[in-house]
Amino acid sequence: MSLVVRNLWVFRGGRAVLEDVSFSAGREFVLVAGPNGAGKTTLFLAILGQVPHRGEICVEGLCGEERAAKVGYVPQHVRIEAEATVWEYVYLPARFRRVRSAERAAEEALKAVELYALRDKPVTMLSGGQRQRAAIARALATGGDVLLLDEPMANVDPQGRVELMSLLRELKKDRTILMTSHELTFPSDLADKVLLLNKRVVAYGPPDAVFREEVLMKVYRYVRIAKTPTGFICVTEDYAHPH
Amino acid sequence: MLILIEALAAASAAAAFIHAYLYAPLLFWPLVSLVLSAAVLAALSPLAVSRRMTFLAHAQGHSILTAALAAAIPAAAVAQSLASPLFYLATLLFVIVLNLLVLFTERLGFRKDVATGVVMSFQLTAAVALLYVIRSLYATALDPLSIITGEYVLITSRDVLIQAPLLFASALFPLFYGVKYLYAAVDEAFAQAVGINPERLDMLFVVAMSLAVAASVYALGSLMPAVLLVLPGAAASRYSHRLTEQMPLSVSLAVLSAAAAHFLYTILPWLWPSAALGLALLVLLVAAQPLRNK
Repeated sequence: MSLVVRNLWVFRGGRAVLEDVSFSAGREFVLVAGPNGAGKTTLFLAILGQVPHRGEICVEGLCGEERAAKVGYVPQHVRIEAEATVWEYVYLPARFRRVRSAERAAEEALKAVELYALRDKPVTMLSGGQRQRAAIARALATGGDVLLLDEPMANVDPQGRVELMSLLRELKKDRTILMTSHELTFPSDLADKVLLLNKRVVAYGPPDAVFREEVLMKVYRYVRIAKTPTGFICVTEDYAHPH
Repeated sequence: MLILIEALAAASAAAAFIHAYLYAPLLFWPLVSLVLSAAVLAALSPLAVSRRMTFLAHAQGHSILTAALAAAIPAAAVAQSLASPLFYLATLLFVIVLNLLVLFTERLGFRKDVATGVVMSFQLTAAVALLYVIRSLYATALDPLSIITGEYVLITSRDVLIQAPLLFASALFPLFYGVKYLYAAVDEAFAQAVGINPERLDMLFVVAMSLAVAASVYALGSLMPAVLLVLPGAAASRYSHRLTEQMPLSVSLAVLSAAAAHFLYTILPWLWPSAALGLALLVLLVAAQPLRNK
């Protein structure tokens, strides 16, 4: 297994934010779903070693802090506050992380997301979808065996979403990808598994097994699911106070 | 563009040094001090601009004035001049304390700009009180105006020797952490994910800024270091959008301006060199606008 999480607990201000979370993933695409405050981002930060936690997290067999070098991360808010070229945006973090052949890693990553031709452009000039692709390229260049994408579809227009989905289909062939999504409307060929989280693991399995009203109702106040030829359309509403 | 500006800066600095050495020897060491101060402050400038710390950088004008006035009192009390190591060290100590006070006030829950404003208000109050103390007790030993404008023409090789280690220590931050710090300004969340600690770097940056400002006060006075912490970085961002070019461009523009300031001062002796330096930087900033619009 590429990613193994065992008995993970995270506390903030004396309260448990994640409670006894355990799951494992191979080279597959895992959609991490759950309401606001379910601990999706905290799970990612724990995998990256950015928050204190109890339990065991192993990436490609590495269970200590060194596992972070195997993890590529796309933060929830890709805010670009100062100028840099697309190349610098992707290459510099790889250099900071002392990735072997950082230049080649950045070049390959930019080619994979089809932004290599724009490498000399200021990253602030990119569209929302292009920025997300640049952020994914950066994650690929800095780690890449396990990719953590935190709400990558947010603030991306419909065309950008289609392009991102197509990119993720390519990337999932040889990586473990965990992606959080607030929305559960999703093409069925993309996610191999769904991890339904609400501080603890509510359900973990193939989309068919998790996208069911009786399962989602454990977390959401209102659920309507329609299965279409291309995927699931789930309309949900969060509980005011998650369990 | 970077290579052109770097070459221009090197050539103009060489011309200014040769001119000072051959035709205005009294201005040679002041020029060395001006170029060194300008280069180090300018290396820090893109960091202040990118990290949105220009307000804090400008607050340096207030903190260095207060710190220099506070340092002048013990120096005058033991009959030491403004060029003495005691004055430099006391200024440095007060500047660091005042700058860290901003970060401390921020941690009390104030926004960065409000925290800076609160500490600046305290500094202005203290500056007025200290000016009156100096006028009352040390009117014959100290000229408070020299703390504001600097003592450019009185600078000797000994002053440069006192100043150089402080400037060197300050330059270590942009040399070793400059690019990482700039990247933290691009995307702080991701910078943290790759092991950069922006809060720790903020703290180190403030110390580096304090060192450079304290080291420059004798040559530039208490107000101009703030200008050099903002204008070169702002101008550099007009000439290039490459993150890795910001620091070399900023330093080159400052050195070019320092050389221009030397020639302006020799032609127009009523134009104080630090003011001439600020003017030259403003011209370079405005001149970059057509490039930006292309």
